[in-house]
This record gives sequence, structure tokens and C-alpha cells, in this order.
Amino acid sequence: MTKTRTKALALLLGIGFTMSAVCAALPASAVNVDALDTSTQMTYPFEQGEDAFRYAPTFTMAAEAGAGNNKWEYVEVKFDGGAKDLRAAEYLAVQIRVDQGDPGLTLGLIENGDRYNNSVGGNAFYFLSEDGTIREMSCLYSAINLGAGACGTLLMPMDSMGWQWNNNSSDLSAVTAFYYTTSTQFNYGYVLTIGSIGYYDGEPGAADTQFVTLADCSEGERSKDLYYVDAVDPDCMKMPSDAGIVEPEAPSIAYPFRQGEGADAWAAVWQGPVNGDSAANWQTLTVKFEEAAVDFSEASYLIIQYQGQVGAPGITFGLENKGARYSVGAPEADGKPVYFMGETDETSRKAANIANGAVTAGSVTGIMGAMIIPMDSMAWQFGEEENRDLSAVDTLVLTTNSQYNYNFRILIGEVGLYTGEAGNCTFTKLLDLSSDRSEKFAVTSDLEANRGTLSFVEADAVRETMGDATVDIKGEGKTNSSFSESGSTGNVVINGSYGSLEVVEDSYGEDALQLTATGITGDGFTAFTLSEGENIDWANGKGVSFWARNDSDAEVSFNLEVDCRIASGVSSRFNILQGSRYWLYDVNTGKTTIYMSRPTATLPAGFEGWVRIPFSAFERASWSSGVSKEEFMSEGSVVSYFGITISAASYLNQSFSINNIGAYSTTPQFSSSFVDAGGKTIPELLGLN
Amino acid sequence: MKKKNLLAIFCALTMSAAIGMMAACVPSDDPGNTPGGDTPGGDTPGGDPQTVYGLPVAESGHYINNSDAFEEDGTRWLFYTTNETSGEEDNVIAVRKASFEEGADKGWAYGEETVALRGTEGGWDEYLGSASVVKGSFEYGGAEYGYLMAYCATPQANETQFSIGLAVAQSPDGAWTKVGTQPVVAFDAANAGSAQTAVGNYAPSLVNYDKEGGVRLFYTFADSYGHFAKFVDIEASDLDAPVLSGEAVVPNHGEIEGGDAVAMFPNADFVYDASGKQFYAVKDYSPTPSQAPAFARRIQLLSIAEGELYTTDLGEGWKGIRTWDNTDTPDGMYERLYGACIVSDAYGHIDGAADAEIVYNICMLEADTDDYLFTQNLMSFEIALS
Repeated sequence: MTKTRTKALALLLGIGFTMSAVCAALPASAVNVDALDTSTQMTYPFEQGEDAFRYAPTFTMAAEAGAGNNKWEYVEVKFDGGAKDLRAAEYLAVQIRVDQGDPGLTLGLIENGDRYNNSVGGNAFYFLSEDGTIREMSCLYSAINLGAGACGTLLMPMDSMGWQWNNNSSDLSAVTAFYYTTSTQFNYGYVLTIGSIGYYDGEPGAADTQFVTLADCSEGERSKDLYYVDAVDPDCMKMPSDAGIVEPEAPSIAYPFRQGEGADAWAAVWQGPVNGDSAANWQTLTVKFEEAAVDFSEASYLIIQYQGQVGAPGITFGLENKGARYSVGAPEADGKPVYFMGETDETSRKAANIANGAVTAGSVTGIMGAMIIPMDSMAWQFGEEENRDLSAVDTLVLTTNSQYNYNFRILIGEVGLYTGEAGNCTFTKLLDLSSDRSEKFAVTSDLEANRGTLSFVEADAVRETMGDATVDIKGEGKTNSSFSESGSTGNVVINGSYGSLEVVEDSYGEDALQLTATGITGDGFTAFTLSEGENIDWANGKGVSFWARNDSDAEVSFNLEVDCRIASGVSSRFNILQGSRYWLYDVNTGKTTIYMSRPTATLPAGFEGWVRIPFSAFERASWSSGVSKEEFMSEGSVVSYFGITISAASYLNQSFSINNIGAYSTTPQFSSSFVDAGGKTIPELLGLN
Repeated sequence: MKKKNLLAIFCALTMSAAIGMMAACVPSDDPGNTPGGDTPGGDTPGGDPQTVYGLPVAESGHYINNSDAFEEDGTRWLFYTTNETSGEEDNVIAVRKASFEEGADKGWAYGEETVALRGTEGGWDEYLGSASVVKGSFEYGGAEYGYLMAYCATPQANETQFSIGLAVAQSPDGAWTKVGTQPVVAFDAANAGSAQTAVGNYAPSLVNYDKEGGVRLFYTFADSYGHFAKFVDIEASDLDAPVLSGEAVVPNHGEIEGGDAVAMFPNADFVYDASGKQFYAVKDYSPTPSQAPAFARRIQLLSIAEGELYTTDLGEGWKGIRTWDNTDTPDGMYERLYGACIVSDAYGHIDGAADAEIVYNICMLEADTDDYLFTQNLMSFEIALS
């Protein structure tokens, strides 16, 4: 990109300009052109003063730290008129006001789902205040803090930005939107107003530089469908005209489905494909009712037992009558509300507004409850006219496009409908799962090669235990997986450095997971995600218990990555540091050892047996915050993520196997031929003897 | 250890001056004649035995380190590592017997040095040292023995990859018979970080737990991750078929003094207070100075409730009793304090003892003498335990 710089003669600013879609910046009355810096004199590109943001939406983001399970809140501002070619852009200009707080913003551009943003730490960005002063800001941890109360234009040099990911060979030739995202783990309680957006094709202030408007807020409020939010509060965006408008109230209804333990019996668990597609690939889950056809003509709400377990895919809910679909995917449904009621809640709440024909219910991920879809929030999307009849609905249909939504897992249980007004309505159950009705569910996709899977929660599935230890994560049900230069396969997510997972037999002939770091790339650590979103309760445990075998010929170490979410909703990552004592019971030698982490969980060469690592060995990861060591595994906490990381550099191709991961409730005691401390040994506690 | 590198000319004057400064040592009129010497003790000691009051002092060109001491029926037995040949590092394990004599300038009167154990050339224990001895009831090869020794050794000349072996005797002054041809705790290259340079298993410290054949072997394991204490219980009444427990890392939390990110527990000696159900340990401070010799500059005495050894539940951990450094040595002249032991009874117990004696090593600095290794000697502290 051309480097020009405008040195400084004072320029009278303060005059408001109504910008056309393309307009020339005022010529700088200076010579000696060079790159933008804090001394650059330039014309303010947007409207100034009291009315500068009079048509701009305001975004009130999560109020609490960690809200939505450390949700990454996301706001997208789509460009006027569709995709724009930004290959000539030198600086992106975003009219923005920080109304409250001072968040660290990750901002950038969207093209084909790829993100071009400020992901490179240390690079300079600039903030042009309405008074013409320019501040330089440095990007840290892929985030920029604009400063509390900042009001002006964010200037983002395009060469200070980069592709955070680019899976579709994007080249900035068809950019569709500007976006920002923040994690509620670190950024909450802030309010932003975003106005017009444009770009400079040269140095701001240079005579031949053009300013191009991408999203124009100067003439009036833009259509709400030109914005997309995925936030803890789906109504976080307010247009100036929204002031005084009363939001529709969440319906007051009684929770109609099973609650508590066993509430998920025989429910279907829809696992999306691990990897996304390069083009549209519609994944579809169909659910049949008890009756072949159901009359929805008097229904006020469609209600579905639902739990988002992993991810927050955009789901299009619909009802079909002989192929005609009545759905949230109809264009007129966009912007309408969909509600959710947790199984222990007394009232429902808004889960999301329908956007782009889908419901993205990230704010309720992890919660078992009911998705409540007003019939008014759906409309006929397609189908033969004669079949557009709600009196004979034969199928509930859920669809999502795995080009954008993949590696998700959602639970769909019983289905029903309400008739009448909320507060005085009648519930009718359409699908009862008090018994195995798996034949009512089916999944399909456009491309058979990359299709989601379906499994069912067995009704009698009580929590599996071995002696005093729970068994929460098993090799059973996993498939061989790999992540290499050629891509990913399998149903276990592997990322970071290259790695493979192979299903092998443990000491008892059960399926176990053999993990291997197979190549060094990225941060040098191979990560295996073994549980995500299952919210495992280890709160009453003493530590982690698992079976393991060192399949290599030398000592091998790995770390256990545990996200502990406490009752308040705050979550933090914990893992093991060097110097902590833990237990090894070798099933071949019969000996129990108190070993030490070297530098993390370590299996000696030749070891095969049971490992018990006390929770006291875990410390909060240096980059994580929120949950204290004292709160780790406290009452009411759950494990929302469990993974294993291996230093690929240190343990390349050194395989080990693991199975039956859970929590133990009794600390073993060391004993020998002449010492009996009174406690039980690991085989006694596990009932192996 | 039998490093065959000949040393530079030893500075006898410097050594003599150093000896004269040792407050805890009460020298005889002629302290330099017998202890140490070109053939210290020897298998067939002869000549005129000299009584040494106070801890023995290494003869010119010799050193004494890694002591172990216990008292039985009014007799004190002092085991230590020394070099058999002046100016060489050809370690042997030596023993001296002492009796206490009342009177001015008297005290523990040490007899002459006897070599208790030598390394086996070409064997796993070619380079050996650091003995620990307890009384008990042990059978080996059809014979009954009353004393068990643990020692560390390696076939490597570069002080790496140590293992721990056992020997038995019917009397502390021998003769000592090695148990088997292999170590009881072997160096395991597959489970040592940077195995080629790992120190391995050293500083054995025996406690006869039940005063019969149930012996607890403490030792230090060291590799690239640090120096940590471990123990293994050995049913040693039949040493032809000893029964070993799994190993257990000793807790490393509590009031442990050290400058490492993870508290280490190097070069420690342990004793057992059965009546108080606690163990005492004296250990080196870590890290060691960068200036040679890389020996510790402080030692620390600690105690821990016995039950904490057998669980991973975090209790109080180690309680610090006293740390000593150079300011506690005569005129503050010794900047290295290391390799200490706690004087115990013959079983490695100090049951209900109100005080203890700590025997430790001192050494001069390389900056003071190139032959600093040959300035290693013993000194002692006394401390009240209650």
C-alpha cells in the first residue's frame, strides 16, 4: 500500500458534511505527503456534533462478566447494497461512540465468513476525534481499547489488519460487512453506538484520496436487517426510533415438559459435522409427531424441548405439510422474537430475534428447557399453495447450513403446541418421549459426505460409576480422528498442532482413546476436545480419575484442560502445573505410586492403570480469569469443557491411551507391607479387587 | 568417586587454617596424623590409633562428606564418604566408632577410620558414596545380619545416573556384604528428563520403621525437573526376596525454604519420631550458587506429620524448624553448608527426643582455593526440638 503522510498545516475543521456514497476528501493544504500519524491534518469524514449519531444504533452488551458462559458477543454491520470491493482500501473508517465502559474490541471485515481484522498484536490504529485530533492506539491481544467516552472515527490501516482466518480464499474483493466481537469474560457493561462506515483509498488528507461510504447512517435509520447481533441480550441493539417502543413480552406459560434428572430421556442429540463446508450444505433434522398430522391452525406457540450443548448454530425451525414449510426462514419472520424457558425457570425470556431466517440462541446454551416459537414468528417459506395449510402438519423440521454452522450439538426432546393466549393457554404434547421413539427422528444433508449424526439419551442412563469414581467421558462412541496438513476427520475436535486419535482397547477390552501428537505447528500444542457443553458435575469430587496407558517407550506428559463454570456463570480454565503429587495404580505390577507432575500429568514408561489427580493440583491458567482456586469445583460448579493438550515438540509421536474419565470422591491412602494408614487403596476404591 | 584426574598441588596451609577454624571440632594435639591419610583406615588398620575428639577432620588431600550418624548403647557410629587416595576422587564409604568422654577438651572420641564399602570396578556401583545405616533384623544368603546400609552409586564417571543399593553387616564396622548385584532402586533412563545428564537417585536415608525388617528408604531423585524427595518401603527381613512398595514422592509444600518456582527437597536426611508420629528431615537449600562449588549455602531442619506422607490431601505440610547459613559457622567463614544428617538412634528414630544434633558439610570456595573439593569436612549444630 502507498505510504503517504500529510504534515501539518492547520485545517479548519468543524463543518459538518453530508457524505454521499462517494465523495472526495477535502484536499490537504499541505505538501510533504507521508503516512498517517497523530500530526496528520485531515477532514473529518462523517457528520459531527449533536446529530452525528442521530440515526445510529446503540448496542448495550452483556452486563455481567462471563455472561452466556463467556460468550463472544458479535455485532455485524452489513454494507449498503451488498458486497463491496475493498482491495483498493487503505484505511477503514468507522464512526463510533463509546457510551459506556471501554471494551477491548476485535474489529474487522467479513467476506465469505472469513475475518480480516486487528488480530495482529502491536500494530497501530488511530482514532480521529471530532475536534480533529488523532490518537494512536496499539493492538494488544487482538483488541483495541478506544477509551472511555471516545467519540469520533476509528481509522484502521488496512495493512495493520490481517486475516484471522481465511478458509475461502477471500481477497477483500467482496466484503459484505464490518463487525466487532468481544468476550464477556473480559468485556461487559459497555455500550457502543456505531454510525457510518467507509474507507479511504489513499492517505487521508491527500489530494487524490477518495473516501467511499460503505454503510451510511447520515440520511436516516438503516433497516434493522442490515445489522446482525449474537449477544447475551438478543435485543441489545436499539435504534434511536426504538425509544418508547414496548418490546413484546415473553409469554407467561407453565413449563410443559419433564424436569430434572431423566428429563432428557430418549431425547435426540444432533451433532453437527466437525468441519464446515466450502459451499452451502443444508443439514436437516426431521421430527415426526405421535399422530401422522397435527392441527396447528389454532396454535399460538410451537414448543420444543431444547438444549444447546455445544456451539450456537443458527437453526431454522419450521413445520411442514407435504413439503410446504411454515418457518422462521420466511423473509417476513426476520426480526421477530423467539423465546426460551429453562426447565427451572418461572417465566420465559427472549432467546433471540430471528435473523437471516434463523434462530441463534447463544444466550441459552447449556440450559435444558423449551424453545417457544410464536406461530406469528413464522410464515410460509415455500411449498405448493394447496399444502400451505396448518391443519395437517406432518413434520417438525430444523435446518442449518454447515457452510457456516458446524461442530454444534443440540438436544431435541419432546414437542408440543399451545393454543390460546399466553397465560391462559392449553398445552398439547405432540411427541412423548417416555419411551424410545428414535424412529421419529432423522437427519439428512445435501452432501452425504459431511453429514451430522444423531444419537439418543437412553432413559435408564444413570450416571456411570466405578467404585467411588464417576465415569463421565469414555472412549465409547468416539471414532478415529486426525488433524493433519491434509485436514480433519473424525468426531473428536483436534486442533493446535497436528494430532491423531485412535480408538483402542483398554485393560478391560473397552474402547479407549489413544492420543498422539503427530506434528508441530501453531502454538506447538496438540489439543483434543473430549467434552464440551456437557456440564459435568465434579463439584463433590476430590480430583480427576481416569484409566491410562503409556503406549510409548518413554515417560509422556500431557495436561488436562478443565473449564470450571461456577454457579454465577463465570467460567475459567484450569490445568496442572509442575510439582503436584498425584496417584498412579499400575494394574500390571499392582503397585500404587505417589508421583509428581513433570511438568504436567505424567505417565511413566510402561505404566498401565488408574490415575488420580487431586483438584489441588490444578491452577487457573495464566491467561484466564474469573474463577478463583477456592471456587474451583465448588458446590454448584460444572465442567463445561474437558480437553487434553500435549506438547508436540516434547512428546512427538509418543502415544498414550486414556479412558473412563471422571471424578473420584475418596483420597486413596499409601500403604506398604508394614504401614496401613487406615484408608483404602485405589483398587479397593474402584472395586477392582 | 574414582575420577582418575590428578589434582593440582594441594594447599596444606590453607587446609590447616581451615581446620583450625572449625568450632564444633575439638582437635587432638595432632589432628593431622591419622584421620584421612594416604590409606585412611584401611582394611587392616595398623599403626598407632589416635583418638580424635569431636568430628574427625580429613587428612591433607582428602575430604569427608555425606555423613550418617547414629548412637547405640553409648556408642556413636559415623559413616561418611571419603577418598581413599590423596588427591584423587576415589570414593569409599568409611566408618568410625566413637565413645563419649567427659572432661575439658573432650567429648565424642572417634577411633580410626575403617573402609566399610568400595565400589565394584565395572559394576553398577563403581562410583559410590553417601551411606545410610540402620539396625534391624535382616537375612541374606542364609545368614543373619543386624545392620543394613543403603548407598548410592553409578557406573558413570560424571556423577550422573545414580542408583541405590543395599549392603548388610553384623556390626557397623563390618564386614559389609553387598546385597545382590543390582541396585534396589535403579536409575530409569526412560523416566528421567534429559537422562544422559540426570543425577538420578541419590542421598539415601534409611529409617527402620518397625525396628525389625520394615525399612523405609528415603532418597532424592533429580533430573531436569528438579530435586525431589521420595521414599519406598522395603520389607527387608528376607533380603533374598525383599518386598518393595510403590514409590511415593514426599510432600513439597509448607514452610520449605528455597528460591525455586516449585519447592524442591534436595539431599535430605530423614529420622522418625514414632511417639510423635512425625518425621524430621534436614535438607539442602535450593537453588545452589552458580559460583563453584555448586553445593548448597544453607541447610534447613523441618518436620511433618507422618500421615501427610500417605495422602495427596494438602495438610499443613512441612514445618520449618531452623535454617542455618554461613552466619552460623565460625566467623561466618563457610559459605557452603550442605549434605547434613540428623544424629539418631540405631534405627533412624529420635523417638520423643527434646533436641537433636545436626552434622553437616562445609567447603571452601573455588575462589579461595583450586583444591576446594578437598576442603570438605564435617561440623555440627545442636538444636532443641521442643
